[in-house]
Amino acid sequence: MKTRKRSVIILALLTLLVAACVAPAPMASDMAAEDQPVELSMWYFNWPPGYEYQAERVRIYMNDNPHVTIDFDHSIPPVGEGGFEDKVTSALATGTAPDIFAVINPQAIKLINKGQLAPIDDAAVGALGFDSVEALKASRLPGAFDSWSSADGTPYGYHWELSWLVLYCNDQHFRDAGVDPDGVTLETWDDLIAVGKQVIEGNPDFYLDDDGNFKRNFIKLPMYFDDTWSMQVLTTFLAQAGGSVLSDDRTSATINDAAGVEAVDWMMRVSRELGDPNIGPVIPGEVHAAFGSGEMTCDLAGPWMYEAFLVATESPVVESGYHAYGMPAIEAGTPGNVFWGWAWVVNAASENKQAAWEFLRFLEADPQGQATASGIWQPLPDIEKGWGAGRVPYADLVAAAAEGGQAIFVTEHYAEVARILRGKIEAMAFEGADVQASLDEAVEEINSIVDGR
Amino acid sequence: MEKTESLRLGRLWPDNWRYHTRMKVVGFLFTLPVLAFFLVFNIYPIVSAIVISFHEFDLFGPMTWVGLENYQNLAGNKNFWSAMRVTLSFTLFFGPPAWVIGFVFASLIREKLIGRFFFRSVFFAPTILSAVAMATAWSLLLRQNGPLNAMLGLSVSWLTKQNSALWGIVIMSAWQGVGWFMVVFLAGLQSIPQTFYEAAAIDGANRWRLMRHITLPMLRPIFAFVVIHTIIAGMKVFTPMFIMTGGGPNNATRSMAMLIYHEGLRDLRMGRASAVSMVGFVLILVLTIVQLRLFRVHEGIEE
Repeated sequence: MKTRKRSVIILALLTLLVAACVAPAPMASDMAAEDQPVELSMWYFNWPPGYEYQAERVRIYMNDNPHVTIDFDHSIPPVGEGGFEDKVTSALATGTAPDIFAVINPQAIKLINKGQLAPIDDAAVGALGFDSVEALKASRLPGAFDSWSSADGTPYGYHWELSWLVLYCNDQHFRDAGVDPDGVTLETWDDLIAVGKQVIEGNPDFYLDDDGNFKRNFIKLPMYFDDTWSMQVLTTFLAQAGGSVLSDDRTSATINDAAGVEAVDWMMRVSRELGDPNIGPVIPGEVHAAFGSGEMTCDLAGPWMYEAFLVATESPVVESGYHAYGMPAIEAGTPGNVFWGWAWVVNAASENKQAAWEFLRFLEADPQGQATASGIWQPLPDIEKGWGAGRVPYADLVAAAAEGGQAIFVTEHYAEVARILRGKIEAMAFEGADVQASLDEAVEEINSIVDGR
Repeated sequence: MEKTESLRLGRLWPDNWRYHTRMKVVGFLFTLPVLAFFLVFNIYPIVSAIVISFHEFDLFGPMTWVGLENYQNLAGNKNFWSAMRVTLSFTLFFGPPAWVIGFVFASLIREKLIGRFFFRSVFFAPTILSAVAMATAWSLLLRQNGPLNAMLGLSVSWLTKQNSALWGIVIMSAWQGVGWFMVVFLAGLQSIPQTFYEAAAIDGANRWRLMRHITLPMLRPIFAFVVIHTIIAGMKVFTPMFIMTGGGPNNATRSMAMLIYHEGLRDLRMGRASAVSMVGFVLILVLTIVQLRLFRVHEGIEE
């Protein structure tokens, strides 16, 4: 009897031992060397709504996977956008970059071409939980990966955020001018100019001084003193007009063609007829702040406007009410927008690429929670129908504005091209420089860079 | 007696020599950390920049020798000349108003006035405050419909027009520099012996003559220091442009330091960025030497 009992106990212990050896570790990765200590480093910039959410995900992941240690540095100043990007560039050049970091899309192509980023290859795509690269691409909005991809289409970035422009307007300002915000339809820029003039005329004391000059803007396009915002606005109008900054082969500039001139003409009309570019805030962050404080009536900003900006800054506009009107078009029914944002990338020199991709799978696995906590939307189809993104006012209109979205133009010379174009935009808006002549000058300067002269 | 003295000195001499040598070694050892720091963080980057300026280098790939090409390219580069013009204009215009106001403030707070310690702190505060915060605050003050225009009854687009943007930055920088110059001038003023003034006063000198014949001549070394400091600070200016205008509008406020930043970290052309920085380095060196010579020559004539 005793022998039988002992045999049963030994058998049970052996069974447990075998089970422990063959069973998958709870929550641990399928592909990483199980229970081998892994140390990952990760950088994001000092933007609290983003890094607080990420830090919480990091904490949960390390708790569930005790063998993984993640050193998360989010102390790097964000930008103008320089700080973080420059730190990443310097760190990569000196071999001190972390395993994982965020990259804004215009910066991506340069790092990809310099061999600094790890591709999302078959192994990586498996770690991210997809069967193939095609399946990964299909899971995001069309075109979402374009500016994080090499020339052969290989993606290098896993989205944290994708942004596009949306028009937001202050309800109270409309009402003060006798305009019912619910009755307004803003399909085109012409519509916006007409409604804007109506609002200004309905409440002239708010917008105009005694001499009839603007003292407040109805809208100010956020496109001055900042290359990133400048290009976001310009390329959005260009997309709507069917123009482009560069030719398809990227060896010459085409922005001075009819579509380019039409796009910039519209930018100038909106800027000058509904305000004075020379008054009020100039830097994009200040322009958004003017909308948030009720100093400006309408603003162009991303899907993050509500949660990450208005709520985070306790804007009175949340209380008084606002409308999101999607994105006006140059021609009704021909929408166009440009995608902009940040994606997580893995350092090509990382010794823990697989573990890094596995962590990124977890980091981005709760898009609705992310939208709620940080206001940042991942580029997922129908994200606005979920519980997190769906609670943003006008979520359906905000999401619809992504229709016709395309990637920002891609070139290794992006920074130089953007600087040239921003300068011309400033000259046109602030000093009334001729649009065609300014774009001709821009083309000449850009061509001297992109064709290698 | 002579022999004894000689022997004594003979004994002393080697001891003295050993003592002095030892002291020199100890002194050198004390300076070693600073020297190492200086070599690693000053000399090494300067030498590296010189070397890189003769190469094509994108930070990630190998360096390719291009000889003087980067320097030759600068000659026909309108961005370089524009940045040079911006930098020299800034240097020329931000210093003198700050010197004059700083000097006036130093003269005033040197007097035994009520609240002079308070005003000394107030005037000096901008010098120690964050340059980024100051630039941000001033970009609000300088708006066309902002407080400065309202106070002065003007309607100038300080930061958005190409012909006024640099002036806006000059005003901010001069304001920020006043406190520092005030302290330097104050130190200079306090070092002038009071007896000079008393003697001149007995001879019937009025305030203007005291200033003309005692204060200003005695402050000549301070002026030399202030001018050199201004040249160096002006030639390196970066933060106000970066924060207030991003180098705009249409590159009207892009300084050489900003151009170096754009060429190097943004466009990944470290060779060209290094060439620009070398030109700036040589320019500062030449201006400083000329400045020192000028002041020395004048000092000689005076003597």
